[in-house]
Amino acid sequence: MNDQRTIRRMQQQRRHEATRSLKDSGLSSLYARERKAVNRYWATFRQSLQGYLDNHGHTLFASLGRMWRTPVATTLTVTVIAIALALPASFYVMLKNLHQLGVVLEDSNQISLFLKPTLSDEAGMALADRLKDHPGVESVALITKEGALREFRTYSGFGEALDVLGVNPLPVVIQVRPQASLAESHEAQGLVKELQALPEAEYVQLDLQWLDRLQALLGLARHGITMISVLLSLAVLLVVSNTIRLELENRREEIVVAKLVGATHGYISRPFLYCGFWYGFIGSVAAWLFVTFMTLLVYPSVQHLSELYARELDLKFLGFIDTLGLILFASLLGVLGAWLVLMAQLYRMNPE
Amino acid sequence: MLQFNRVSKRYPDAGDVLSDVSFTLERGKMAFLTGHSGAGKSTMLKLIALIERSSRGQIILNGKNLSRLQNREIPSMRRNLGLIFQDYRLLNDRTVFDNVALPLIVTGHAHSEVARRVRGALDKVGLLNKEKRYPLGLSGGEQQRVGIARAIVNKPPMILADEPTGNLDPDLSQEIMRMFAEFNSHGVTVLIASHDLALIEAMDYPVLRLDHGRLVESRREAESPRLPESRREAESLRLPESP
Ligand SMILES: Nc1ncnc2c1ncn2[C@@H]1O[C@H](COP(=O)(O)OP(=O)(O)O)[C@@H](O)[C@H]1O
Ligand SMILES: [Mg+2]
Repeated sequence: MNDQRTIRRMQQQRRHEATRSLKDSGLSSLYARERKAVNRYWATFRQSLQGYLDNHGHTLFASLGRMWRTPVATTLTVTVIAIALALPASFYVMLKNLHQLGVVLEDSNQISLFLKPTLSDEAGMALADRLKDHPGVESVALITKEGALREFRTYSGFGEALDVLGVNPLPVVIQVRPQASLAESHEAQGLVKELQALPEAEYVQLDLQWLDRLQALLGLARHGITMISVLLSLAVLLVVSNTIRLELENRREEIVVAKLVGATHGYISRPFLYCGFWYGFIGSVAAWLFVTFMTLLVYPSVQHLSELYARELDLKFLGFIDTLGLILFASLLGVLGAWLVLMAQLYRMNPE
Repeated sequence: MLQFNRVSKRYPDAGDVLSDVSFTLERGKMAFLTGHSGAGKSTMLKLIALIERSSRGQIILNGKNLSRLQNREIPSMRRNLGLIFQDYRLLNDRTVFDNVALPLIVTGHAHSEVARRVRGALDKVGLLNKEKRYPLGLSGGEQQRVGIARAIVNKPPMILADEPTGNLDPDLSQEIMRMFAEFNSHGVTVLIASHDLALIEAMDYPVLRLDHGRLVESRREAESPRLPESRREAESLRLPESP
């Protein structure tokens, strides 16, 4: 392979010389000389640019290669970073799903109107018909005494106790869905008052209070997650810093020699900054995998919930923007962690 | 090229290691720096290479006052120096080629350029066939030649060598010294610290002698008869008259 390279280089050189001699013989005007100077300028520029790119690209992947050569240490570091990132990220996903649940419930806007127990199914049906024509009502559903009993038997497990009673003590229930959202509009509140005033009404129940509580809890959780995120980001920063510090220590000799032959701090820092970047990047990709995996694990329970509420609850994953944000943020954290150590260590390392 | 003006260097725990040193080394000349162990030879070279800073006096290198130089200017200064060490300072986990390439890599030369120059430098020290070897697989003399190739690969106008033959047998030492003489004949300024008096005697260059941090003597052309050509060489080294 090396031979091939040599041959190629020789060919290039010969071609180069051929063109040069051509130019020298034919064109000796000022114009040609000027053009040659410009060409030379461009050649130097291209060469230094090429050198710069060679160097950056090479360093970027060389630092990855270096990490690859110490698989155990690298895996450990990356895993710690991934866990530290996955924790807040998975809380965040959980919150997103709970929030969605809250929205769905709020949207359900159900008012349960329990009629007096003495009233019959027929009376209930008549009332339901009347309510259907009410302008504030979107739809009504009737649960007959029989239906309520069936439901009770299925879900409570106290079926036998009712058998002992001999009569059905359960009232007729009309489920009213208002036009407007319960949480927001006065009209809906007015409807609730109207229902309460009905002579047939025993009790009106809103699914609202515990929704408020859920919202409050979610708000609290959001604050908690923010705090945990800050702490764990700090942890990521420290993990990267410490890893880079050890790496600096290991490569002290190399750094000293590089300094002696005229390397700038910028040049020496570069591989370590890239290394920090890789830790953040790979760690966040691993974190994404963790979170996605965990989300898939809870999929069955979400489906169960969907069935209970007879609603389509689609499972929320870490979204595209969130994932992008996570990866960017973690990569930046990695670079920052490396940079902090370099600032602290490199300038103290002799020789200057 | 290089001028010391009443330079002193004090270490907190060793006192004055160099005191009141003054001399001038002109561009394109070669000189030896000698003296007993601990006389301050290495310290002097470290001051020139900005590995240490002088405590007093001024050092002028290429028209720049080194005491006033900012830290961030040091790398560009060092690129004009080829440094050679007694213990070679090679990176043992890198091939001979990569070791020699280092000064070019850190200055961001393109790969093609690097390969051409590295082979040129290795050719000069006669190690062209060893570019894929690792330093620890080479003899002492070969390792030192790798160190020399690394020092000359970016064609610095000045070479500083600290006991370059300290670990080598006399024959190898002579060969190395001949190499320096050849670089010098191509216009490179060379300063070699060495306590190998026999070797220095055998060569016809001016000598700076340090004793406990003081410059006590410079061997002038008067001590041994010289050809006119080498006389000029000797005069390139100027010491102020002692008070
Ligand atoms: N970093 C240092 N700190 C304190 N003392 C030092 C340091 N470097 C060298 N010295 C002292 O300076 C003196 C001169 O050292 P050096 O220049 O290495 O001598 P040489 O190279 O001529 O043998 C020695 O006495 C040594 O102990
Ligand atoms: Mg020494």
